[in-house]
Amino acid sequence: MRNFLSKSFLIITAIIIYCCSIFSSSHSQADENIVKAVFFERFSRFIEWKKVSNNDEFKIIIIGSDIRMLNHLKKVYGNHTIKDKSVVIQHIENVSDLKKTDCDILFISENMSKNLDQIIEYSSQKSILTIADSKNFAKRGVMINFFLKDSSVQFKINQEAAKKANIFISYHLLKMAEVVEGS
Amino acid sequence: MFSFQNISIKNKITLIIVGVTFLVITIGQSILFFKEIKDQKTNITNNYISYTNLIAENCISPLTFEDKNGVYQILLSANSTKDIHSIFVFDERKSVFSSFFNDEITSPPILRTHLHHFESNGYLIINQPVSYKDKVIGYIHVKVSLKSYHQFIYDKITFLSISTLSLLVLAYILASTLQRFISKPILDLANATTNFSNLENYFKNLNTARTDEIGVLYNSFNNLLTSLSLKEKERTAAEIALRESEEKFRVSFENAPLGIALLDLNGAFLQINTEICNLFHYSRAAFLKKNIRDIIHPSDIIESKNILDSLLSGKNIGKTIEVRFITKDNENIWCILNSNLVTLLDDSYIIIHLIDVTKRKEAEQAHLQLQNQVQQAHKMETIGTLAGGISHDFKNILNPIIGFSTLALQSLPNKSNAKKDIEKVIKAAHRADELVNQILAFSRQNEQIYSSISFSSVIKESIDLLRATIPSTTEIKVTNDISNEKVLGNHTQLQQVVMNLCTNAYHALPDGHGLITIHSTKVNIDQPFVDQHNELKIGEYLLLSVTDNGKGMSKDIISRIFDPFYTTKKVGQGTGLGLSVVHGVVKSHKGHIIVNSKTNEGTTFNVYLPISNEEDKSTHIKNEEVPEYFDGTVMIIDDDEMSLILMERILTNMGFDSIINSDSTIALQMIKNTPEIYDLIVCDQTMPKLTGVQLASTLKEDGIKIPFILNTGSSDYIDMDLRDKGVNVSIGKPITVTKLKSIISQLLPHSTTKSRS
Repeated sequence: MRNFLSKSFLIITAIIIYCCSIFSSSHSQADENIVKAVFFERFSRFIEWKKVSNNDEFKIIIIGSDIRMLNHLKKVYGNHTIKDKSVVIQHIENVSDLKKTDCDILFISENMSKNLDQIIEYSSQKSILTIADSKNFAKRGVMINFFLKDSSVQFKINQEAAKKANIFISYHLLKMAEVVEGS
Repeated sequence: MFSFQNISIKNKITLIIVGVTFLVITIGQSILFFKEIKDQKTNITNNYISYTNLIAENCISPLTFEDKNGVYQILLSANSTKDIHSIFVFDERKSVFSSFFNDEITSPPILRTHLHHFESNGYLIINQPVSYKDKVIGYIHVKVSLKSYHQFIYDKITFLSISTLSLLVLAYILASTLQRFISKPILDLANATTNFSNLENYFKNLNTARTDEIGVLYNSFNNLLTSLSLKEKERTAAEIALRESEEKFRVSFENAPLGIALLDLNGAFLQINTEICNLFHYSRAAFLKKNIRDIIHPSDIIESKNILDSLLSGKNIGKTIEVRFITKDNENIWCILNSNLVTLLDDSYIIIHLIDVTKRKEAEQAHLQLQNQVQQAHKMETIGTLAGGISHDFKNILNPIIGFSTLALQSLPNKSNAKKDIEKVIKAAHRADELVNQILAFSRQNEQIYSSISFSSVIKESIDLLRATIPSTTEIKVTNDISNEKVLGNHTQLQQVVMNLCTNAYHALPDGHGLITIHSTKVNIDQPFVDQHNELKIGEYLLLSVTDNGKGMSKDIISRIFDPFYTTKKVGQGTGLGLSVVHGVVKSHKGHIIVNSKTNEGTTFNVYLPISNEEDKSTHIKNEEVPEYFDGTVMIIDDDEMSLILMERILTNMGFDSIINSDSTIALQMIKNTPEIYDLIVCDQTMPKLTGVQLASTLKEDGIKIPFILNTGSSDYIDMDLRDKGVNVSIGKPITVTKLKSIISQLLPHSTTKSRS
């Protein structure tokens, strides 16, 4: 137990130091993505999924071509948990693959813009948190969409989409985000 | 020194109200003050805790997303709160994440475990963890300055002080104004009480219109006044009655005819009345310094000691004794002392009553003395009467013995034995007659012939005779203060008095050694002396005192020394008639004899004889030549046959024609019938029916003058002048022929002859 705590502490410290290094210097593309990957876990703190999940895993699926995010997520959560569950990261290429599986968070790559509505529809039905970092995706119905402002990673939240997917977002998180409306 | 009790009730009420107000306000405001302070402190704490919580709440997401700027922006809100000194936000590793300073920048604090606390330097420290869903994501440290809190306290104290002071002033004003509602009735009551106490005015009642407690008090006071008025009246009446009673008691006490005194249990006088002072002639002040033992007669102190001690110890109460006391003038007074133990106010005292019975005592003693004298006189009179009666009978017996013996002697030849025997009989009869004469001298019933006698010569002759019989070992001292004073009496008898007294004194001397003092003087007998010795009369008396320093006599002996045949002498030294004769002689001389004697000190006989300047009225028998024979007829009257026959024989031998008669009444009748034939009457005195004197008186009344010789065995009429009763001469029995011839020769000088015709 003691080893576990000390190990967790070291990891968190490394992450924080890493994050700090990201925020303290000019943001590179990689740093930006790391931060975004870290934010996945932070988002999970302020979000409640209404669906009942019997899995002991917290599953993140990346749909589309954004392999970089896949890699960053695997780096960040390779040995880390979200909501005290081990994180499983899966990459899929198309919507049909998506319908074969279930997950807690779905990162939608920018190239999935064409199928976005379908993905959002499906995610909403499955109560999956949708995250993207593509322009106007929030307005199109993605629940959280990253954007850069003054070299810092910020995000927009479509609260309606979340409510539609039966996902509750804390006001703490809302305070930090730019809340947008859209289908 | 200030004393609350000494200030006026107005000020007391004011002070109490102000004090209570101050106390209540102070306590109330203190409670409120501390409550407010506490509330203020709690409010400040809660407010800043809430404020900290709010910051913490706001910092959750910035901390989560490590948004320092976001945190700082939140902290900037503290700008509007001046009391916040500084805020530090720590991340979950307790590293400073962000900070805010209102005044000066300070170094980061060390996080402590307690959530909030007050520092002594005037700051409130709040440490609050920032957590979300039970997960600590950071910490907030808020340091709040308490200046405003302290200012609040200061302002509150200032306000409370001013308000307290204002309330006190208001309380004082109200108390000063309202205290009258309480103090005025009390002051009115006090004034009424003062008025009552100073002027004793029971009738100045208080207004009782009020119905509160003061009204009740007024009513009670009025009732008290009414009650006191009634009690005062009763007390005054009782006091007057008491004063009158005390005055009556005092007057009674002071004017009581008996001495009354109050003593303590030591016998010291505490209170006395006037009679006590009068009794003892002491001033009141001087008497009150004395003890009862000081004034009791020393002779009675021993006798009284036990009674007195038991009296003073309170054991012997109600005792009445007769005690002698000594006055201031050293005089003795007899008092009846009655004592009682009394208790006054829990203390015991002795009250004594003294009744002066000195006069009564003296009178009792005088009466006792007089009674003794009367008894003695009565006894002597009785003895004298008895002796006189016996002597009379003896005389009557001796009269024929001597008479017939004398007649027989005349008829007997000289030198015959019978004549010698008869002479012895006559001699013995004369000795018996002499004894009877002494008894008669005691009983004053013998024949007495008085003459005016110089008593000094009597004493002188007596002393001369005594010198011959009393030995020289006995000193006889004679002091004579009289010169020519004379007494009317019988020389021989008086001489016998002196000699008997001296002989008696001599016999009282032990072995004849001692001193006999004979003193004669003239004294004036006054009434007090007469009161004590009623045999005497006021006038001049001759006092003969015969004193010896012999063995003295007891009272018992003194009471009997004059009794005939009573003697304390040895057989042969006396007949027991010496002092009896003295007593009889003195009494027959209308004198008095007093005996003073003390055992082993001696005896004094004081003989009082009345001094007389009268001429000698006694019948003197002249020693003339006695004729042998007489001529005439004589009536002889005697109820005693022997005496009648003897007298007939004697008178017949003298030459008389004797007519005898034993019945005096018949004889009287015979004389009355033929008085001229009688030349002489010889009559016995004591006869039945008619005595000799009565017969003589009858004859005198009838004018019959016949020489009358009264022949009597007693001497009742010897002292009287019987010539007024017709008796020429009274002679005692036994009569001798020679004496009878001598008397008859004087009565019938012309009928005498030298020889029988």
